[in-house]
Amino acid sequence: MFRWQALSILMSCLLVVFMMTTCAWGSDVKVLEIWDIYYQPNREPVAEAAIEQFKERYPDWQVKRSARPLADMKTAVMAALGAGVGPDIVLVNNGEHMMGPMVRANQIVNLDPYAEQYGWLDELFSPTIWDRVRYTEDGTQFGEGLIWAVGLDAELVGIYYNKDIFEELNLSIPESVAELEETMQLIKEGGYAPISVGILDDWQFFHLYGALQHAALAHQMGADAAQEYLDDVVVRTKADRSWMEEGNIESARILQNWVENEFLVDGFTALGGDDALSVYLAGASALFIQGSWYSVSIAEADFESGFIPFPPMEKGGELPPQIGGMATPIGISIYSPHPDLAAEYLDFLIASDKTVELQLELNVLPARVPVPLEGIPKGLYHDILTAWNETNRVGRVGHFLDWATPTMWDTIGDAGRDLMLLRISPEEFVEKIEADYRAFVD
Amino acid sequence: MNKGTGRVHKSRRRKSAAIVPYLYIAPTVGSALVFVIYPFLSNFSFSLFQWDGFGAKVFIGLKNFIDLASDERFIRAFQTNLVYFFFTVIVSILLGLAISSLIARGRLRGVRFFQSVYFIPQVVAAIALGTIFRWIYAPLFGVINHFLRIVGLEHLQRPWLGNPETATVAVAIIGTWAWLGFCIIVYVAGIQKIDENLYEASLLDGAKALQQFWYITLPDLRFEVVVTLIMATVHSLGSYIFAVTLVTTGGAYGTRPIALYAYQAAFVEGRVGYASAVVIVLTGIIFGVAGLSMFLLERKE
Repeated sequence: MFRWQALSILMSCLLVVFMMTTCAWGSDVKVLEIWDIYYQPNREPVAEAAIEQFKERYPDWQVKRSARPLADMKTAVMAALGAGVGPDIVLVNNGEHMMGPMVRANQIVNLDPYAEQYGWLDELFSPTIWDRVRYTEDGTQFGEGLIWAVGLDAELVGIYYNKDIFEELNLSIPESVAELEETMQLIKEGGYAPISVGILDDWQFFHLYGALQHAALAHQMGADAAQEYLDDVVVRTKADRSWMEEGNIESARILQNWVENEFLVDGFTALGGDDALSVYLAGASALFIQGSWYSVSIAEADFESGFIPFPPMEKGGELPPQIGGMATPIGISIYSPHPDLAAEYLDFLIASDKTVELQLELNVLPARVPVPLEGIPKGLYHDILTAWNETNRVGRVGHFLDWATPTMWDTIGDAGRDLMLLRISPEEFVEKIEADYRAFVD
Repeated sequence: MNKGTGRVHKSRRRKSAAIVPYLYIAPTVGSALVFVIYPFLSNFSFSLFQWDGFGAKVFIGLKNFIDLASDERFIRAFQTNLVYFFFTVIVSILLGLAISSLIARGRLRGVRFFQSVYFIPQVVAAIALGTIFRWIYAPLFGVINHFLRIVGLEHLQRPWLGNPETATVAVAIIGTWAWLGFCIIVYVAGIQKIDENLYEASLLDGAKALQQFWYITLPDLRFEVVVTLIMATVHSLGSYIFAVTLVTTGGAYGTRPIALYAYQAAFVEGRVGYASAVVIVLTGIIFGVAGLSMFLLERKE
C-alpha cells in the first residue's frame, strides 16, 4: 500500500513538472514579444493599433504583449534582462532610473540606425525631447550621444484654471507671476482656495516648485540660458554647474510667501495628488498647477477648465521653460533575436498617422510635434496641445527635477515639505539640493 | 514463501513507509526552498555587491552593512520602525491583556459578536486599512477633524498625516487598531482555559484582582503573549506596515519604515545591493525579536 501511495505522489509531481515544461517548450511559432506600460484605456488602443498594423504586414507572426504598471514592469525587466532573457521590446524609463544602467550593462539596442532608416529624427520629436532618450555609448553621460528608446506620448505641466470661478469673479488670465499672485488674492477674497495641491506626494511639490523655479531662472538669466542651465543641472549633471542660483532661491521664497498668504488649499501638507485633484474637481479651488496627464479627469468635471503654460515673472517676458517631456519610453532588448522587426513595430507605434489620429481621439498629448490642431474643438485639450506645440517650437521643454540624481527624489521631497512648513529658509532648501547634487557629480 | 524472502519484503515495506512522510512534506519543503530560502540566500549574496540591478555586480564585501551604520535615512527609518513596533506590539499587547482580563471571566452578553468585531481589522487588507485611515485623518473632510469641529475643539484640528509631529504616531496607531482585537481574542481564549479553581483559591487567600492577574493570568498566558508578540512584530516591521505607510503618507514626514526605505533604495535609486543589505538587517531584527521571545518563553517554562 505504501508503495502505491509513494508512486501516486511521485506521478502527481511528474505530471505537474510535465505540464510546466510543455508550456515552456511551446511550438515553433514566430513571436514578437512586447513589455510596455501602456495599459491605461487611453493608451492601450494606440499600442493595439500598432500591433494590428504589424500583423497586417507580417501575417505569419504573432505578437505577445504584456502591459503592467511602471514599478512592476521595471522589476520584471530587471529580472529578465539580468538573466539574459526577456521580450524583444522592453520598458526603458529615462535617465538613471533605467536607461543609464541598461546602456552601461549593454542590455538595449542603439536606435540611431533605425531613426535614420525610418526618418524619425526629421519628423517626430523636437531636439530637446530627443536629448532625453540619449546617452553616450558608455552610458556615463545622459542627454548626449546615441538614442536608446522612443516614446509615444508626452507630458506637460501647466496651470489648469476653473473658467466658472474666473467668470464669477471677473478674473482675466494671468500673463505673469505678478498677475498670478494678484489673481490668487482675488480668488481668496472670493471665497475659494486659489491653488489645490497635495504635497504628501513628493511629485506634486516637484511640479509646483519646478514651474516657479523655471520661470524665476528665466527671469534671472534669460529663457534660453535658463533652458541650457536646466539641461545641465537636471539632465547632463555638469560638475561646473551649481544649484546655488538666485532663481532657485527666489522661487522657494515665493512659494513660502504663497503659504503665508494662504494661497494653497487648507491642509495641503496632508493631501496627496488625487486628493488635490478631488478638491479642484469639486470646484473648491480655482487653480491646479499640474501635468497634462490629469486632463482627461479634469475634462469630465461639472465645470469647464482652461490650461495655460506657466507665465514669465513679468508681463511681456519670454515663455519660460515648461516642465514636460516624453512619457516613459520603450526600447529594444539586446537579447531580441529579431531587432529589425522590433524596430518596425516601434515605427508603427510612434510614427504612423494612425497613432496620432488615435491619440487625438483619446485626448492624449502626442510626443510628436507639431500636433495638428485642425478639427480639435476649442477647449481644455486644445489649450494643452497649443501650449505643447509652442513649448517645443521655442525649444523650452523644462525638466522633472528628480531626474537630476538618483537620490534627488528623496532630497527635494523632504526639503520641499520642510520649506512648505516654513521650517527652513529658501537658502537652506537650495543648499540641501546642492549638497545632493555635489555628492553625485563630484 | 521462505523466511528470508518474507524478511526482505518486510524490510522493503518498512523503507517505503519511512519514505512516505517525506514525500508528503516534499511539496511544502520544495516551495519553501524555491520561494523563501533561495531568495533569501540570493538576497544575502546581493548585499555583498555594489549593483544597480542591471549591470555587472562589483564585490564589496560588507561595505553595504558598514555604510548602513552612518546612513541617516536608514537610522531615521529604524527609529520610525521603533515607534511602529511600540504601538503595534507593546501597546496592543498591554491593552489586549488589560481588556481581555476584564471581559474574559465575566458574563458579558454578546461576547461572540464583540470577538467578531475585534477580528475584523485582521481580515481587512493592509492597503484598504491604510485607505480608510487616510480618510479618517484627512485634513478637510476627515472624521477626526470633523468630530473636533462638532464638539467645539477646532483648535485641536490638525493635518494629522501632514505634519512631522503627528504623522508617525498617526500611522502607528493604525497598527494598534489592527492588532488590539487579535490580541484580545487570543488572550480571552487563553484566560478561559485557566482553571477557575485557581482564582477561587486565590480569593480565599485574600488575593486582589491585580495579584490574580500577575500570579495566575499572566503566567498562564505566556505562550499566547509570545505568539502575538512574534506575529505583531513581523507585521510592524515587514510588509504590513510597508503597505499601510505607502497608502497613508507614502513615507513622508518621517513615517518611512525600513521596508519602504529598502524599496526606495532598490527601485527608485537603483542601489539593489545596498537595499539587499537593508533587507538582511530588517530580517535579522525580526528573527532577533522572535528568537528572543521564544528564548524567554522556554526559560520561563
